[in-house]
Amino acid sequence: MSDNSLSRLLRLLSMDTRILAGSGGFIAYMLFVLLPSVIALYVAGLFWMPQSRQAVLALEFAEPGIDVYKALYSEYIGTVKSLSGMVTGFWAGFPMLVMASLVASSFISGERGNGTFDLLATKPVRRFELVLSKVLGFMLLSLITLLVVHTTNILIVAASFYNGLGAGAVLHALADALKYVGYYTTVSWLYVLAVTGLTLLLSTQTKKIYIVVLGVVGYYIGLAITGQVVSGLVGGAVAQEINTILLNADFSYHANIILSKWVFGTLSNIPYQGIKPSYHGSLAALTIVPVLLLSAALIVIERRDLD
Amino acid sequence: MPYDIVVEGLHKQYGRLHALKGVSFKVPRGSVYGLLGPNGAGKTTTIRILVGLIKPSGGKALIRGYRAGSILAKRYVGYAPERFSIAGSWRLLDFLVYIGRLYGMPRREAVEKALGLLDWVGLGSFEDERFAGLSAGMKRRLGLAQALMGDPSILVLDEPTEHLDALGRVELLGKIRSLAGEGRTVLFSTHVLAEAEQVVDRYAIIHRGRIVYEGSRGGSRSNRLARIEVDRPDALALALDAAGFNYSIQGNQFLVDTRGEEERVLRLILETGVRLLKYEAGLGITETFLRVVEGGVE
Repeated sequence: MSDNSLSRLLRLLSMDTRILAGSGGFIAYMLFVLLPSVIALYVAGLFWMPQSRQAVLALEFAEPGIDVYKALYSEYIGTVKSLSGMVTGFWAGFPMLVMASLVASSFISGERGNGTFDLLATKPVRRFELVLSKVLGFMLLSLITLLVVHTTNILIVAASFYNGLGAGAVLHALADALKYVGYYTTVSWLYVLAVTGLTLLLSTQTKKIYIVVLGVVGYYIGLAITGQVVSGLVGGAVAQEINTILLNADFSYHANIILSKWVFGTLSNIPYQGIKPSYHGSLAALTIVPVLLLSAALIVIERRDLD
Repeated sequence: MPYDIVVEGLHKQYGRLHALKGVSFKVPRGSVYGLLGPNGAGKTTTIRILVGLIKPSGGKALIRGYRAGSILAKRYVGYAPERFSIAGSWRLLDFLVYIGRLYGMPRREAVEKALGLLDWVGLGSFEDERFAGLSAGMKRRLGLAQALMGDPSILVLDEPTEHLDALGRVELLGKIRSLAGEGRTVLFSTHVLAEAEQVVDRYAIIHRGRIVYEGSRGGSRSNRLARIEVDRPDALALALDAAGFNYSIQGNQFLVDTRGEEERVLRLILETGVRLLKYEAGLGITETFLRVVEGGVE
């Protein structure tokens, strides 16, 4: 069997992904990711389904001859946006930050702490291959999980309309709305990648998982606090601008919000148009930041002494 | 004579701490080589450089001519660390198969190899056990099994008998000899000198980051350390210095590293004209160790 870096990486990826998928840590993480969908299903069942039925009845009764498809599509898209926005907002929040960081910190700090990493590092593989295979496996499993989450949300909303209207109207609206699966999955996935990159960089410096997770959480909290402190100290419009710039400076965290606003069409509401990034600019930043963090982590772990 | 491991002028510094100060030794192919020394002497640091866990601050360490720590060098080496530990959730068979796959083995071959090795180290009926459930001695056995998964030509064992009971130690030392009998080179570190006496072909004593003595196991012919007593120690000291021999001195007693040149040392004594009161050569490993480490031949 050929033994170059790529073949070793693929071999490791296949083994590590299977191990990760069956590990308790990842199963807990996956359930946590899927939780918003369960909540969405519950909310849709209790609230949106009867509401949408009433909306259809009200429309037909109030305005005979109205373009029902168009009206319902408008309401449907609004509901999709609300629900997906809720899920993405929840997902990108503090709890998910901790969960993703916990899983990713096991790749270096956890494995160094229990001795596995140092032992594997003496085998004929490069250290970065040992880490990268786990990251790729984690991101692959995360992508699948996120696709399920966001598709489920949209299907749940579609189901709520199905009871009130024919399948044709639902499919018509559904086809257009499915593009939101792509938007939200991309944003959430890149967010996980950013958290993973930062986690791994901190993991190269300590074997203690709790220090790594605290470091990641502290980084994001610190960023927000810095903005507020500067704002308070300086005051006035300049301070507001500095605060906004600082909050937007970390694209790895805030670009997802900007992207959400772009999807919702409310980007123009952001103050200080001068720093408003485009959708593709945000996407690029959201990709570059985690890739840089990840690369730095891989270089450090490859070069540092394991003692 | 081909050498599997060549270490030359190896230095390792951690800030102000100089852990290795120019360590040099060579391990002949197919031999059992002991790296002996008290705790904190630099044994583990040397071994961790050889297996690629840490990088030297200076000097070189080569495995079959390849830089220690490179992929090519690591292909030749199987390593069992002093404190062998992995995640407690690993099942023994799964873990060994994982290691085998790192060496590029097909899964089926890795399973066969793993089962054979578990049997060989006395863990034959524990393939489905998890690592967390093993005793300290069983963990050491697994440590040896994983070191052999890649069928390495060179085995590097750091304090291999630690945590083993008396029977386990005897078994393991027997296994080390049988591995050497198969043509493998074994480098192992220990501070238990009686073990070294039993299995090594050659050994080096490392103390305070330096190799202070290198010799062969066996009697007076192969051992290099000699105890010499003369009437005029100052004169002999001058002669030994001039000839470049390492020695320690207490009163009129010398402990000299003869480097295998006993005849030359004796000739020096004669030429110097001092009166030889006592000459004792061929000290055993334990006595050599104690004299070197406590007497300070450097």
